[in-house]
Amino acid sequence: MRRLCALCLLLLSAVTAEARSLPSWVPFVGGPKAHREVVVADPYIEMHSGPGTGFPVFFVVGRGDSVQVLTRRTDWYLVREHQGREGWVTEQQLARTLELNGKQINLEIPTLENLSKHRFEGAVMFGDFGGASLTSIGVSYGFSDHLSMELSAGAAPGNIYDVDLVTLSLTHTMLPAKRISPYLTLGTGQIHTSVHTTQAQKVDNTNQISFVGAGVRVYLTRRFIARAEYDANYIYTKRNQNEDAREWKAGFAFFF
Amino acid sequence: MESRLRLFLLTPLMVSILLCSSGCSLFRHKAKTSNEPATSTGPVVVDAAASATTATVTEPVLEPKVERRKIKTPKIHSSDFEVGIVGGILSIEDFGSHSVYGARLDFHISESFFLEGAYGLSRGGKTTAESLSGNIQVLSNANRKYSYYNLSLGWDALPGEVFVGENRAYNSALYFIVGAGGTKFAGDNHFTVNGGFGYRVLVNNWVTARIDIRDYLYDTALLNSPKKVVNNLEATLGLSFYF
Repeated sequence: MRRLCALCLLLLSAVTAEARSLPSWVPFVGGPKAHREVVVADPYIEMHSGPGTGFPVFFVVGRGDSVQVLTRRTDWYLVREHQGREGWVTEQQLARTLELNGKQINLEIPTLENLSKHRFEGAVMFGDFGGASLTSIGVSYGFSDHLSMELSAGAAPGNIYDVDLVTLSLTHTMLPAKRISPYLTLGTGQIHTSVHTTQAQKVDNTNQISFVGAGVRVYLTRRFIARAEYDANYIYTKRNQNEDAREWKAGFAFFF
Repeated sequence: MESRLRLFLLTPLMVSILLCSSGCSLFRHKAKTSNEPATSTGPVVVDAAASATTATVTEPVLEPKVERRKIKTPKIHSSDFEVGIVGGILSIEDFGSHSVYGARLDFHISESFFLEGAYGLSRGGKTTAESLSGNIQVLSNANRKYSYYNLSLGWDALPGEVFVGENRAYNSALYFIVGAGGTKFAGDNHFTVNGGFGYRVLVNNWVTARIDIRDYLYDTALLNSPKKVVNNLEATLGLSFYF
């Protein structure tokens, strides 16, 4: 209960805080930073009060005036005009501003064409591992358009066994420039299995696992990709006979 | 005889040296003329004195040593991630309501959708049977630890603003969230589906205060009792930061 009270106090102090600009104590965002400065080329750009279409326009910056670009959140950019007002500008409007050297700003807007420029990708997937419901997350790094390496962690609590696994895999994406692209994957890792305490026999094992699989990626929009995968897993047990487990999963991938 | 032989050998050597030296000078001349501008077609008369005077005039007094600086355009940083802590009350079916605390990590994919990973810790209390009888212990103390994790997809359904007084407005959003994960309780792991809604108020562009109401559902068969679906309701307050 004391912890709760402390948390409430912390919350109250945060809510009453009036700081509108970047707080220096916030990790990763505090401290002095150089921000990119751009010049408005359109008749004006609109500053919204929040990063969303529904938030009202509270100020406009006219042609020829410069603004500092503080950060990007999804498809919105937080800008500061010369009098210190901060507001959110749409990507479409900011894309038409000019750099100080007169060139048009390049925002590297995520599209299917420049998908390969983004090397890091995250994935959240749900499915089935040998009859148990699987939840998994993964982070991958692309060495090239076709080849990437993925580190994945998953947990599958089942009726008889609970499974936890961590794997590292190499993935070959066949058609990276296409909206629908199949891929092949090959990986290895560790699997930990333990039986529920309500069962008579307790089994608690950690073994090596390897798998081969195939999947498909469907580019939906911007940084959002739908993904489905089927894997054939081979578990190298300490017994004379190895085990195999089928796994399928589907979910979303996003690059950042 | 010996001198004749020497003469015989030395003559071709001398001839070849002469030819070689004349050939080299010929090539050098060609190389020189090739460096001349294409416009000069006629013979070029070089005045040595004039060229020396020109050289003294054009040579600068000070050699400027200006290094060109590379101007690096500052990168536009993104702040799509949101990390936070939460604390509140969790009602564990049959085991009473107890405090819960945890962490959240959100990734905002678009202005309307976000993915969230969550982890929470709590502790189950005594069941009614345990409280009434006094001697029965359904679970050991170690098995009363309750922890959960989940991955969810959220939808900012109603973004808007909260007005405090005349001069203050804070951005806010009512969101719905659904996902899946696991719960560890009574020594067992359970696949858990969760769903609920929350309300987020942005104190400024970087700090968020949030209220979450969440329901966790999973199958359980405690002490070999018939399997049943458990509903665990959770209400939390949280504080998070964009980065």
